[in-house]
Amino acid sequence: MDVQERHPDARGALRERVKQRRRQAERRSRNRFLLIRALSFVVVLGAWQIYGANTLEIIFTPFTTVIAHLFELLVSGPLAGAILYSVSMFLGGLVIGSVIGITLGVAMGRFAVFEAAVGMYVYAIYSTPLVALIPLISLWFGFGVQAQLIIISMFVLFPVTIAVYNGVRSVDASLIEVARSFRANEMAMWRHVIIPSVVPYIVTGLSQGVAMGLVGMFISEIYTALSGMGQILAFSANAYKTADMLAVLLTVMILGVFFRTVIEELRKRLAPWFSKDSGR
Amino acid sequence: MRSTMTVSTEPRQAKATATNISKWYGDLEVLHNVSLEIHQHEFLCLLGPSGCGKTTLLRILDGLIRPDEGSVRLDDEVITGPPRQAAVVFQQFGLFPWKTVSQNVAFPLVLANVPKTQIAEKVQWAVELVGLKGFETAFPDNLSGGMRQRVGIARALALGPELLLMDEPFASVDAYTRELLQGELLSIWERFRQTVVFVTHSIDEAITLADRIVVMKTKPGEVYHVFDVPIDRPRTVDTVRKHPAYEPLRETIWQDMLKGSGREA
Repeated sequence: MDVQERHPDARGALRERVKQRRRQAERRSRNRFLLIRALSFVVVLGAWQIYGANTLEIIFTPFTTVIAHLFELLVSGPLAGAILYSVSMFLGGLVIGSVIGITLGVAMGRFAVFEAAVGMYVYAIYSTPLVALIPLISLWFGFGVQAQLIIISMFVLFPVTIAVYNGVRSVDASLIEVARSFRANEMAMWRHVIIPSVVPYIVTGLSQGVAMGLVGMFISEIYTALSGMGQILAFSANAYKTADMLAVLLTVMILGVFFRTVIEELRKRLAPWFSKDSGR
Repeated sequence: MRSTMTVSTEPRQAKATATNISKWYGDLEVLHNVSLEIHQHEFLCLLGPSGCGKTTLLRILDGLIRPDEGSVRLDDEVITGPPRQAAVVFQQFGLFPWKTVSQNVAFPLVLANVPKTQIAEKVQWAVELVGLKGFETAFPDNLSGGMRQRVGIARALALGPELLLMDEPFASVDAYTRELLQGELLSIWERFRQTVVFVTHSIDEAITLADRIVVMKTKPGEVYHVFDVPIDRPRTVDTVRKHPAYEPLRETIWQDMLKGSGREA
């Protein structure tokens, strides 16, 4: 019952040629993609440069000036320390928010009693703009590190909770039955069925958590004690140092992209079966 | 008047016995007073149109659901849950998308705490048996329907089950692959002769594979008539189709199924 029959040399050679042609086509489409990206980059940065050079300095500055200010801020200014501070607060909030979020999501998804008791509060707080809660958090926890961590983790918490909850709820009932038919106990059920099927949802939740966490990071740094990158941003805005502002924004953008890439890598590692091949 | 037929009068040893099984889903009676004896080492087909409760009966035989009345005995023990001796092949394959072919096949072995070295051996054996050598590290999503069900069969065979329960296993693959898989199943089964209960709605498939065919009638699901298939083994899909007994049996069963679903021919 061989699925693959043995083929004579001629067919082997043909198959090799087909493969090679496909590889060439893939390379060509990839090169085209990179070319378009590079062109787009040149156009956008060029437009930035030209517009920046021909307008008021407090409205917009050329790209090269922004880069120069970025280096200056990094090397002799406060930016390096601010990044360190902000990123550690962000990571702290991300960890706290994710751990609580995953726990809440799993508990709500798996235990109906828990969802009945707690679900409505989660949805209620999720539906409230978190920024509106900041005065209350400040009232209770002050303006320091503690309050900032709480704010960031609340931003992370809800998208993670909702994603994980959806993940647990959408575990394929037929796979549960398969496991049952092979005599899986509750432990094996979690290990082989529930956890693996929830992992991609956790990663999706984390990815949203990262985006929301960065929002929370800035908000906490601007609305509680001025600190970190938020402080530099606020100060340079007050002083009309547009180039410094843009330098901070560029830094955050890069950080955001970096963290999302890390999460995407995590998805590939943890859920290699969850391939996202596009149909194009 | 409903009549319940006692299935077996032969003095053969019973592997499993279902006695007076009834099952309701709400107000709907899915199975009515079904009694069935499954002989040791026989290939039994449950044949009937959709809605005759044949899949429900199979799940009751595996202890996945409890009947509202009646009981199932396997090797003279009343089952209360999925028995150790049985394995199921599912219509929608039921493969874990996060496990490779090997890991899927190993699943029942891991659950049964088989030592690691033996797992590797048994997995290799089962994978080769169904012709999937070379695909051990592939994920199910990258396989065709036919190959996925080969994995499903390998997984069911890995533990060496005495009772193999197959729930329309070839209903989700194309007609060509279905015939290939029927042929492969025939040759595997003729080597090992596990007791098989095979659910299908295809008369051809039932005649090709089975020693005995249990035709079920609908609303509610009941055992209607039982037919012996007088075709020698070893069989192939082709020899069965060309066998002189094939056409008449097919016609008889077809008429019986029509009657059983309340449509006189």
